[in-house]
Amino acid sequence: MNIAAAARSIAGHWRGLLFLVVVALTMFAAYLCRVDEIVRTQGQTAALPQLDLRIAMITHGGIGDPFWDQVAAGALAAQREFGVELRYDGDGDINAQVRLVDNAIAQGYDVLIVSLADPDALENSVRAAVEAGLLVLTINSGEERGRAFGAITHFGQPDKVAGLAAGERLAAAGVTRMLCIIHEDGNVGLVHRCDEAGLSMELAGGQYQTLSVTGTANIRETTNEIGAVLLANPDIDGVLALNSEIAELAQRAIIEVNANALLATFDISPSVLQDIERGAMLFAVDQQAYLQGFLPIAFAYVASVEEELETSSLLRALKRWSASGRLLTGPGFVDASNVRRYPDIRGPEEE
Amino acid sequence: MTQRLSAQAAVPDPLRPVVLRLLPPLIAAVVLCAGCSEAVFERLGLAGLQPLTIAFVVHGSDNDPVWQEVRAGAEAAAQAFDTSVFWQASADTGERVRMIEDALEQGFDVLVVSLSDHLGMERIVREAIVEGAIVYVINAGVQYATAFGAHAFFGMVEMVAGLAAGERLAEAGVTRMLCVIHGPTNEALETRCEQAEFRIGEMVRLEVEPGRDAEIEAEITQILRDDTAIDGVLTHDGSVIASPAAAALAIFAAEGREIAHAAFGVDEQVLQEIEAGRILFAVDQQPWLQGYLPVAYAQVKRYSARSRGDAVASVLLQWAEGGGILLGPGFVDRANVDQVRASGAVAEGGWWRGES
Repeated sequence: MNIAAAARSIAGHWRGLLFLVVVALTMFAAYLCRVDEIVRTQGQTAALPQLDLRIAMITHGGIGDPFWDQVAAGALAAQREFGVELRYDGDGDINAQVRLVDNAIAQGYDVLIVSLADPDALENSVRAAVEAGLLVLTINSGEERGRAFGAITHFGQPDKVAGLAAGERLAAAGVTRMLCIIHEDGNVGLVHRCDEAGLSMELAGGQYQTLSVTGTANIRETTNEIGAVLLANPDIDGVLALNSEIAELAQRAIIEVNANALLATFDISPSVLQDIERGAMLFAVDQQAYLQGFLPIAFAYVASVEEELETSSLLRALKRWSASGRLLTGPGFVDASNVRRYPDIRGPEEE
Repeated sequence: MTQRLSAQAAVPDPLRPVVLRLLPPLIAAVVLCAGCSEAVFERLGLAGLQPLTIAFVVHGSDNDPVWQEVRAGAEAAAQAFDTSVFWQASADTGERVRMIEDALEQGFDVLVVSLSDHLGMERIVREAIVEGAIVYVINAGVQYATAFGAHAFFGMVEMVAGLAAGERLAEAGVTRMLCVIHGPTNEALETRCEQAEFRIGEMVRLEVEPGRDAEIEAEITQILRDDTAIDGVLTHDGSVIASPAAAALAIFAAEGREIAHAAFGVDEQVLQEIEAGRILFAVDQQPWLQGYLPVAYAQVKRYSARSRGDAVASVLLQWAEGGGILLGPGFVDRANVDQVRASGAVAEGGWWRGES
C-alpha cells in the first residue's frame, strides 16, 4: 500500500464529499429561491393583506377606443395585483355615464373612480357618492371640479402643464410660429393646452395661432382645413396636434401643401410612434393611459388597508404620494431619443 | 461558513486545488441563500444582487426640514432595495462640482443631483453621463434634465409650480404679491416668483437670510407697512421662511388687513399654520419621494427583466420612461391637510374612512 495512492483515494473521497455538499447547498439555495419565486409570482396578493374592496371605475371612454382600452388594461392589472373586486364601465354618452355612477352607488360599491369630462352633468351623482361614504377618485379629466365635489385624489395629466411643456419643446426645436389645432368645440382642456403652449412660445419670443377644425368626424375636411392655413401662412414652422388621429391628418396636410413645419402631438398611438421613429414627427406628449387605470386602484387599496404594508416599500411610497391630491401621470415625452424602447413598456399585459 | 472553509484549507496539498475550484460555487450558493432571505423583505427579490452605489450631491442643507425628508426617503429606499447611498450637500456650486468629480472618480454607479444653478452644473453633469454614470435630477432644475442628457428627473417643474401658485392666489383675490426670496443663487425661487407674477399682475421682491426669524419677521412687517397695496405673500422652503412670515401677517390680520399667504414646502409647522387658517395653501413637491424614487427606480430599472414581473415595479418603470416623474405641484390646504398628515405616518391606514 503506497502512501501516495492512499492519499489519492482519501483526496478522491474528500473531493466527492465536498462536491456533494456544494451541490446540495446549491440545490437548497435554488429551492429557497424557487419557493420565493412561487410566492412572488403566484401569490403576490397573498403577501398583501386581502381586502374586501369593491371598486367601480366609470369613464367617458367608449369600448373599443384604443386610449380607454389601455386604461381598462391598467385597471384589470391592478385588480389582479391587489385582489379587489372591480367593475369597469365606459360610455361616451353622458346620460349613460350618469346612470352607471348612480347604479354603482345603489349597489353599495366602496370606491368610485370616475372621469369627469362633463363635470356639470355628473356633479349631483358624484356628490351623492361622496355623501354615501364612497371613496371618490377622479381620473383623466375634471381634476378641479372633482376636488370641489369631494373627490380625494386625481390621476392624470394637467392640460396646462402639458401645454406649457409642449410649447417649450417646440420653441427649443427652433419653432417660432406655432399652429395649434383644436379638434373639439367646447372642450376646455384643449383650449388650455393651446393657450399654455402659446404662452411658452411667446416667452421664447415666438408667436402662435389656434385653428378650430371639423374634427375626426370628417377626415378629408379636417385635412383640407389644416392645409389651407399652412398654405396661407408659409411662416408657420411648427404644428401642434392635440390627439393622435389629428396628428395623422396634420401630417398628411403638411405633405400635401409641401409645408416646412415640424409636427408634434398629444397622445400616442402605434402610427405616432412609427412617425417619431422615422423622423416625421418631433415628439408626442404621453399622459400614460395605462397608469390612469392602474394607479387609482392601487391607491384605493393602499388607502384602505389598515395594516402596515411591510411587503412593499413601493406601495408605502404610493400611499404617501397620493395625499396631496394629485398624481401626475404626464406629461411624459416620446421622441427620437426614447421611442425605440417605448413600445415595449406599453404595459405588462403585452409581455 | 468561512471558518469551516479555512479549516478545510489545512488538509494535504493535493486537496487545495479542489477546494479552490469549489470555492466560487460554494460562495455563490451562500450568497444566493442570503439573497433569498432578503427577498422576503422586498418582494421584488432584487436584494442579494450586486448592490448599486448611489451618490446624492445636492444643494440643500441638512438643517432644512425639506432636505431632511429627501434624505429620509433616500435612506428608506436604500434599506428596502439593499443599495448603498452616499449623501453630500453643499450650497456652493463649485464645491458640488468637486463632489461630483470625486464621486465619478470613486466609480459610483448612479449620481443624483439637484441643479439649483444649472449653468454651473451643466458641464459636470454632461461629463458624468459621457463617463457612463447614470444621472438623475431631483428637486431643482428638473426642466434641464432632458437637455443635459440626464436619464430621468424626479421633482416639480418650477415654472409650472409658480404659475399654478399664482393662479390660486389670483383666485383668492390677490393682485399685488410679495415674494420672499432667500439664500444664495437658487434659480428655482426666482422662476416661481416670476411665473406667479405672470398670473397675478404685480410683484414686490424681498430678499431675506434664512435662520434669522426675528429679522425676517421685521423686514416683512416693514415692507407691508410701506406698501399698503400688497395683499398676498409667497414664501419658499417650508416653515424656515413661512413661520416668521406667518407671524408678521398675524399682526396685520389682527388689524383687519387680510393678506393671503401661500408657502412652498410642506412640513409639520406649515401643516399647523394651514389648520390654524394662517396659511392659505402650501405647494407640495413630495421631498420624501425625491429621495426614495431615484434609488428605487435605479434598482428596478437595472434589473428590469426581473422586476417586470411585478406590477407595481412595472408601473414605476413605465412612468419614468417619458423623461421622469413629476412630483408636483400638489396642493395642501384646509380641505386635505388631515390626509397629508395621516399619509406621512404610513402605519395609519384607512384615513379616508375616518373622522374627517
